[in-house]
Amino acid sequence: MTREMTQVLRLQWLASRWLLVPLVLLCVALPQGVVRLTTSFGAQSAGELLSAMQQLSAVFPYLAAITGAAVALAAWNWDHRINHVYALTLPIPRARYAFLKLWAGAVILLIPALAIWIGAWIATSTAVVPDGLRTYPFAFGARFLLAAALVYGTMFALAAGTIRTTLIISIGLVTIIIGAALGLPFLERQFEIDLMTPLYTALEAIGRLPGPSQVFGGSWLLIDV
Amino acid sequence: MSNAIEVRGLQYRAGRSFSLRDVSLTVPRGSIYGFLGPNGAGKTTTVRLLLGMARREAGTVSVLGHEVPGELPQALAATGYVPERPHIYPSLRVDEAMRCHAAFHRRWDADWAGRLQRMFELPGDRRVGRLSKGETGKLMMLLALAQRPGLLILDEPTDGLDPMVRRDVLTALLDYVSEAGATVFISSHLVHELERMCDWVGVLDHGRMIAEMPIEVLKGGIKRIRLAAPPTNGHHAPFEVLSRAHDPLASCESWVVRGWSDPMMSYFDTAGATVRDVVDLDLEEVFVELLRSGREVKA
Repeated sequence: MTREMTQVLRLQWLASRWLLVPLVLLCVALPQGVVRLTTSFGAQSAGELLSAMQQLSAVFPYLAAITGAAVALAAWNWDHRINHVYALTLPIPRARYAFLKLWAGAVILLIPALAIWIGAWIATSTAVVPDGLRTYPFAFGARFLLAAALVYGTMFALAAGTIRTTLIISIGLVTIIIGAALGLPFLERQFEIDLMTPLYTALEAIGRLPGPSQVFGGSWLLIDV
Repeated sequence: MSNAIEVRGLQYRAGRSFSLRDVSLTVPRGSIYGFLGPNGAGKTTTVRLLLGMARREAGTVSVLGHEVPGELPQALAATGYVPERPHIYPSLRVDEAMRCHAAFHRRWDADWAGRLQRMFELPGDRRVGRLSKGETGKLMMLLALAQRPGLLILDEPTDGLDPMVRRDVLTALLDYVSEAGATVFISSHLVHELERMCDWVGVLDHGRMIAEMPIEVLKGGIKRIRLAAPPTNGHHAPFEVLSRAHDPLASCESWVVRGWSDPMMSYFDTAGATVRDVVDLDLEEVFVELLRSGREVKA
């Protein structure tokens, strides 16, 4: 690891450590809370337990998204406060600086991922699991890391520019979505061509297998068949 | 390669109200170049363009022989920068800021940085955001000097600092320049300060360069001449008349002229005027007269 990498990692750690404390605590505590609540509500059979766990586990994708977004925003927060002037005067290519920050944030993201894996492992190893069910703490941790990394990457790219740039990109995306929703049916009627099917296919590719956001939609169960 | 900075035909526009128009300047290697201009003239914008922080519309910029922005990392590796406003992460402690800076600059001189830190009495465990204005100014100068640059670009480095701090900062700067033979490009509106240290001066006003020359030529060639019975106009004079004003108390006229030399006295003899005295102007007066004449020409 070069001196530059070490320093960027250190800067990022200093910038995000206080944000990480509550996130890490949540990551350790939530899996145990979900398992305890599931069992304490009197879920005796495997079906009842899975049903209860499915409802409570809806919280984990949100936790992953919040974690990814928080680490990404913390990555650029200090630079925004001084209008990026220090970074712009460093004698390295700007793409390399952005890559160093992206890398450092990804390393820091491993901390809450490790925390949730530890929390999941403690929760599942101390729970009484009905026959026919198995625990998946490692797969659960990996899913959490992938989901957080997806949001981290997206938010990192959005937050890299100035607040003005971020606003322009966000407004541009909203305009495209609204424009497509209103404009495509109109164009279809006018020219009698099928535009919606390719659009839905594209959206499905993003949202379903093998789309990247599939990681949010799958099973977040710590205990499953 | 004799010039540390070469700018040719630089054009930049920010909104409708401000633009840099055809700015060209040359900073000789080893010189201390004072970049003068009133507030809002475009000095900081020019500095930002030199460092690749803003995108120009036209023109070329070369810093230490490296084209900007094409070879920006190489240019920045040999350039120390002190901006107008603090640019160091405020949450870092002084020691952390120094370690961070050192990691990116291969020629960082840790021993000298330590000596400067002691000389400037900068507490290593104090957060940058908690430093006084003077301490922040010293820290920025420390970071710029300890990377041992061949060129220092300083944007109003002593603006708002008390005289003691200003002296400390400038002493450290001049010590380094005399030892390392570095070039200094210093942007300021504190004319008296620059007069003592600069050997070249460029003057920017409303986004245009209105003068660039060695300071001795600038000061030596601009005089205030008090005249009795002056000629009605100075159109055929061998010098440029920057301004003329009537002095009713002394019943004479006061001319400020550029390009003066003593043999030109004969022009007034021929025109029937009597020269009462020829006075040297200090840099601040020269600066004011240059701005005034530049604005009259523009009007």
